[in-house]
Amino acid sequence: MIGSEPQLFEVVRRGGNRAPGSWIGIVSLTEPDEILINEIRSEAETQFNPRLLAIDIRETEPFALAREMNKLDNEWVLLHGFEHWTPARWHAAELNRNSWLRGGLNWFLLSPAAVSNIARYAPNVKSLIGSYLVIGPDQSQMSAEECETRLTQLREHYGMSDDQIIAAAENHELEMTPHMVEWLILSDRGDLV
Amino acid sequence: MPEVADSAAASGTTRKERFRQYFHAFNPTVSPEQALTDGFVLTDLRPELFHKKIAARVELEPRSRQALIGGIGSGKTTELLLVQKHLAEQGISAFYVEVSRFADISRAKPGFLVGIAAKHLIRELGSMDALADDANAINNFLYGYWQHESERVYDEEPHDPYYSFVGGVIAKPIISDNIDQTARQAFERILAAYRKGRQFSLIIDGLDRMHEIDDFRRLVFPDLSIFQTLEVPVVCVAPLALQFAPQSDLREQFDRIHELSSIRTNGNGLGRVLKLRDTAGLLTSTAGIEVISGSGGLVRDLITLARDAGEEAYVSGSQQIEKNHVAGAVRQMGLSYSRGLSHRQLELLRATAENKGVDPTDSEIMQLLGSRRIIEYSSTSFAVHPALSKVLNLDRF
Repeated sequence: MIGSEPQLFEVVRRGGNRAPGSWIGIVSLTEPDEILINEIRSEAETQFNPRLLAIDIRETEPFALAREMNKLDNEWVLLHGFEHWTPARWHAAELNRNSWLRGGLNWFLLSPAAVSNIARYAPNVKSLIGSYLVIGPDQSQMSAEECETRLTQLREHYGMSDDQIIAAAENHELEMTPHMVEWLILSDRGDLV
Repeated sequence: MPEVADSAAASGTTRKERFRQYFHAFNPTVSPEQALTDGFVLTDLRPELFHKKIAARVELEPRSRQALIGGIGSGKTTELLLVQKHLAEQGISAFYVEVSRFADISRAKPGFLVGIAAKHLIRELGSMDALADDANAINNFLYGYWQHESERVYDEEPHDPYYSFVGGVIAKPIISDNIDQTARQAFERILAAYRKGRQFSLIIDGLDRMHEIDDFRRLVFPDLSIFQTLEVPVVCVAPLALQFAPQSDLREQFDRIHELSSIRTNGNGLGRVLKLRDTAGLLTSTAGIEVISGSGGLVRDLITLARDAGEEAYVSGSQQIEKNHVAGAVRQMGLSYSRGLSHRQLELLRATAENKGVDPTDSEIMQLLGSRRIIEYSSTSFAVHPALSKVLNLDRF
């Protein structure tokens, strides 16, 4: 993705055109919810009409998840709930990464917190996901007013302006905490995520 | 451009079909087994021909233990499969096992490699009454069993409070760290039955992702000792940390440690990889050069960049993949590598870019090496990943 955040249809289009077995990482501004999952499902059905199964993995151990996924043939699997995973669980996913390899597309629906954790605890998992596809704020069910309210909260809390945050990110002086990732996406600079 | 149009017209392929074929060829998550089957692997990509050297030692030294080390996406699994293929051509049976497909490595206990090897041999031997008890002993050892207070054993959970579950080495492990003698003896008998007229060797994949070298030592070395005693040659991937481990006893456990460093981008090997997979010639020559340069010599990153650049070209409606499509993909990869870096790690990356030396015994440096933000070309040659270097503005050094 280059420049501003793509629309959801483009995210699904990019991911859906990848080869079978690919791992696709979608970053959502807010914690992924049923509305977003259904939007993705609907977009996928419109473009590709796949068999898509959404799996909430928040309470699932990585190896047990692999066993469930390997029972599926070439379905698209949309995994969500990663923001609830502890570092220990990410480490287990890292160790057992290859047990997740399968014939269908694996979609990883990630919040900013999950993006940080993958980078820190599961670089092997990250290497198979590759670059992220970031969904802009309007696809995360936030109105323009809600976005502005949230930006105001972040500015006041950290005492910084949007330009300062963007400049810090561009100079790679910005620690990518979930709030910072959220701020960049709200500021239409999800390309820096 | 006209060449592409002519060949497309001649072959009757549409733009969508050409790109689809391209995405199939450049898929970083495809299994190395499939990549080999599809003809996408260059067996002579590395001049060292590791797989032939490894296979030669397996053939000649039955008690050999060899380790293969390399960073993420360096081609370790591909090398192991080439070893297996080479040994098969010499008539030697080599069991390749990716352990995470058999066991949850995060919960496994010593002995699980012996158990997995035994199960493989039992499958190969087929149904043999003489080995039924041994096969049962191996299953109990691996998966656990229910035991009555009188010590009578059951596989399934009985509804009786006088039974307790004895964990296996790959399920609910609650037994001690010493490998069960019953299981070891069962493995010996199974191995003897298999070996009548055949050689057997073991290729173990999937253990390199253990970050702590002592975890690797604790989990794997007891099994390696048994294999050595029983003259089963073993080749296994090992954590990158072994390469720089100050404890020499760890390195001495192996007769040979093969280090897969990254491929120099100024040779022609990576160009041959691109050409082998890009049969439709979608990548322009300048785009190909940028893909090679941006990958830093890591094969998986080469494939990912080629794929991502192809995606950019496809969604933009382009007939070919140009340099600007690659530039976008390199930037995204660099941003991905920049996630989660601490201030100290940023300083270490700057120092690396300025050729101020790299201390691999520093745990932060190990993390940067392990996550491929620093690439090792030899024991004395290191560089920041070029995609990351661009994003951090370190390529000015």
